[in-house]
Amino acid sequence: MEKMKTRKVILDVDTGSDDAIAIMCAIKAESIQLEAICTVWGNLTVDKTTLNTLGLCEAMGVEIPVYAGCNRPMVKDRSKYRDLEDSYEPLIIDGKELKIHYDRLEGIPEPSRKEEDRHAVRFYYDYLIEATEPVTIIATGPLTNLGFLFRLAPQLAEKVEQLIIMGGGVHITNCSPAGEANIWHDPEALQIILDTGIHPLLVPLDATHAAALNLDDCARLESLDTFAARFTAKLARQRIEYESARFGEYHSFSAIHDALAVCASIDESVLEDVQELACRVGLSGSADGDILIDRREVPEEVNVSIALSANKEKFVAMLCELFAN
Amino acid sequence: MKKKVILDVDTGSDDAIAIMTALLSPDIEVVAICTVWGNTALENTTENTLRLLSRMGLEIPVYAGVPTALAKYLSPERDVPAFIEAEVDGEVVKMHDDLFDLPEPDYTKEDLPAPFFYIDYLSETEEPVDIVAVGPLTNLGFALSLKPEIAAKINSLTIMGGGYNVANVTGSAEANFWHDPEAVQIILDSGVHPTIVPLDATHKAIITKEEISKLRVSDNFCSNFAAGLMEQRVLVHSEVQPLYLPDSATVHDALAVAALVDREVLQDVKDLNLNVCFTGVAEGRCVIDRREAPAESNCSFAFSADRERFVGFLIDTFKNFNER
Repeated sequence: MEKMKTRKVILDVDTGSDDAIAIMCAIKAESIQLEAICTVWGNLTVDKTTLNTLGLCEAMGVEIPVYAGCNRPMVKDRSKYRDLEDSYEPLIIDGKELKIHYDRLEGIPEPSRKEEDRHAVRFYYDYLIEATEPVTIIATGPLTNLGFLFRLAPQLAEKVEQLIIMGGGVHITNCSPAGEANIWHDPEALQIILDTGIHPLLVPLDATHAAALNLDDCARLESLDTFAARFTAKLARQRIEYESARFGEYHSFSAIHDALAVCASIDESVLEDVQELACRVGLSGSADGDILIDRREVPEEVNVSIALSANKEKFVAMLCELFAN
Repeated sequence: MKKKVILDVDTGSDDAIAIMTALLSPDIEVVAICTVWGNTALENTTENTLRLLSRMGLEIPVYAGVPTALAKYLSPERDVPAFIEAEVDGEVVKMHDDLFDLPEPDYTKEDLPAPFFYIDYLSETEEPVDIVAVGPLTNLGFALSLKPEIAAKINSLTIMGGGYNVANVTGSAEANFWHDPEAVQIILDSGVHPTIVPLDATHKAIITKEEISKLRVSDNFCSNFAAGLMEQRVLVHSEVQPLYLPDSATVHDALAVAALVDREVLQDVKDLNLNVCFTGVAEGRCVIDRREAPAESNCSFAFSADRERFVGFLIDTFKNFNER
């Protein structure tokens, strides 16, 4: 893979099965100097995503500071009349409930250290005020932490070299007819981010589904016989089991959404069909959480780069290379 | 013992009167002032607060807060300008001038943003603290979102905002609530159980031109500055928002401060369940649960006020200023 110069990175995660794989990618990538991991609610409550993150760091033998963040959306759940429940019934197979994110990541140690005292939003604020070098933020959960940060201090967007977001879907959704989970959970947070002019790189479902892993890919990872590769394969198999039970036997693959966002920071050519677009976020009604691309002949000024596809072979090769040792 | 008080203001003409009321009251020790956008931009509300404190010879720490609503203005359909001004003799007179005609301040604001100040202060304090918030509620909404547990450390929260039978900025809403309705809802959901001093109370506790001249008798900087702001408010009220007494003005924010010192200035205070509307024609509206079996009380709401008691309190309090 093409070597890039080392970049400082902060991850913002709701760990979470695919977040776990994303974190391992960031830890293993030579081109990434992982400064901190901020956690947020989303796939699970923030105490669980924080515990999972700490446990995973321990399993990987690293002591990256972990800052716990917000545990609910900025404002969305203050209104009873918004779209608050995701559309899926629990999935019970042979008396066991299948989940895409179990409360605790299995097969990692109980963490021996705790999260930092400072709240994630405060950490971002202090870090960026003091930063003299460029920093990349990769956010793969609901964007609440960054929404609060930039609501308070929009000028700090200038200190962020690149913001990569796993979230949204242009032609594909999951949580609701219009929404992908990360954006749908806290649509206002993304709109605040867009309004800063930070021009994020969005890695939506359109890209992550194009790079979904199948059972052959799991076997290939397993053959590497490292913790990270085996753990990735295990999580991917769990996700495939869930998705084929949910959507039908033909669906024997699963998108490892969050890991693609981290891989894009290592080598952006893993993304394909990246377009410069003008985008708003639906904040109410049936378009709550929708990524609204300005589709007029003369759209508003572009404010986001969106990857509409991805190179699956390259993605799998990157995972194998990152997790080989 | 003096009450330790944090003020949260968008200074603002009646905010200035509220700040002076708090600083001149022998029962209050103001430990900090947080500023927020609202009547005017955050830079102005912060600068106005610093100018006023400097002119009074004080150096109370000022923490600048959030520059806009948590979420409201993200929706183009909710982003409607609203402010109150009148044309008097061909000149525009505003309820709130952008910047006070006072000398430049002697000191600067703190580096720490107001929501972080609240979190740090409330997490660490072992003494009861009372908060009086008289602007949009964004700072407290922000702080309570990040650290819900600080709610338990707030001894009392008095809010000037909202209205049930009285509105100002739209047919349904009062300005502070209308500016950031979600922030109010976050506070109502937090368990703090604030005392709400709405327009129903402040439009009762108005001050007349004659009473303003009684305030001027004290003839110190504070009484004269307050009287000037009130007279400007009388002009705007007479033109666009006439009240039940001729030549009179509201002093909304000062009533909230007075209520902390002397609860009897409020009348008809009821514990009730309140929600704030976020959308449509009722944006910012105080939705009181009026069912026979309402949801649990989440605030105390003052439906009226004792006008003469409040005006007397103001006139007495403004005698207390001594130039240093």
